[in-house]
Amino acid sequence: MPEPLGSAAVELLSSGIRPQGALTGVPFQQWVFPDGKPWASFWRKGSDYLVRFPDLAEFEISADGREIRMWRPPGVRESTAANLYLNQAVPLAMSRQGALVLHASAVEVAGRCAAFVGASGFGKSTLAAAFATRGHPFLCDDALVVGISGQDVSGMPGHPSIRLWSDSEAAIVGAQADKSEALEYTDKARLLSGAILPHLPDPRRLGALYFIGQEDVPATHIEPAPSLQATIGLLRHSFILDTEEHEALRRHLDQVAQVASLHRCFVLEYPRRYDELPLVVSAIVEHISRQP
Amino acid sequence: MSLPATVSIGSEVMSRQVADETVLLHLPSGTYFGLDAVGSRVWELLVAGKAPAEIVEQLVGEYDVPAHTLEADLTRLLSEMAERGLLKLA
Repeated sequence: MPEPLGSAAVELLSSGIRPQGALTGVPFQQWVFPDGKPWASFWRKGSDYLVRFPDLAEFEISADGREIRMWRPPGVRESTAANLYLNQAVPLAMSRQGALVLHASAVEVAGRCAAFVGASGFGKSTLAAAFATRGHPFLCDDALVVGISGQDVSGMPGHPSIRLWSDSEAAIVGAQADKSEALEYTDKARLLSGAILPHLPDPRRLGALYFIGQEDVPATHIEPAPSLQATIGLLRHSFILDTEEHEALRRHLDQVAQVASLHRCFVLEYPRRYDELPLVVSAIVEHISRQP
Repeated sequence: MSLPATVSIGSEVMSRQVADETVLLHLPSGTYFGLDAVGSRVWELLVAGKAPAEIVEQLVGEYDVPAHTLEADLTRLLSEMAERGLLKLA
């Protein structure tokens, strides 16, 4: 069972097998895919939480977000549940502890953190891998914990692995990187860090945060994200376990407003072609080097 | 639709200013609402307890916009905010 870095405050109490029985009542939050298929449902269990990924795994998360119990139905591989634990349950638990956790990958550029924010499929992992294979180690692949201490805002390291579709893997990494066992809910491979994909296990001050645009453009284009757009974007791309707890929502808005106020948020559009990735990396490196 | 006489801000609404813009959070639903610079100025005046008619009067002095246009825009904004539970109109 891999240990998530940067999340020492989250403890996996147990991992076991049990069928996903019927739950009574209604979930207080649901995640669905664009086609309407359910991805996850969130339930209260006393003061604790149950997060269920149908037919894959479910997680009991303590009220304070410090402890998780993991269950998978019979027939589901432990690696599948472990992957959901790392990429979903731990970020949600950390949000419960008061951390700002973004749907973002992050890499180190010139001693600072460059973060790439976007929904699944927008290219976060592809960018992280493209940077890592060019000497810019990655901090995380999918969930970025943002450390806020006074006026200092930092990107924290996450688990040392990157999940890539097979075409991205072939184009960027080749067959050299170590892989974990295949996952049952996605065709993505989880590539482990190493010489090919170096991982940075230390926090770095946030240098720039890029919202990945949807457009396939002929050349890399970066422009400042207006404060309101940055705030809404950060809110939209955050992990929040309890969407009904007012104090947590207040804290979350404060954190997001602070990050947006740094004026280090940008919109990034880039060509969606693997042979253009070296130029994309160069353009971002050059851009972040100009930031104060 | 006409300009309401009075407006009260919902007790479960939280606001944060980001640069010259404002984000409102409606706590019961967990939904967010963004206000641009002019909307933020309206919000500031609402928080200060100004009635809609007073806000129009104030903004006419600050922006180069006719009063009837401001009144129509403000009526629409207040109505939209009320629909989202951010305000109560009377």
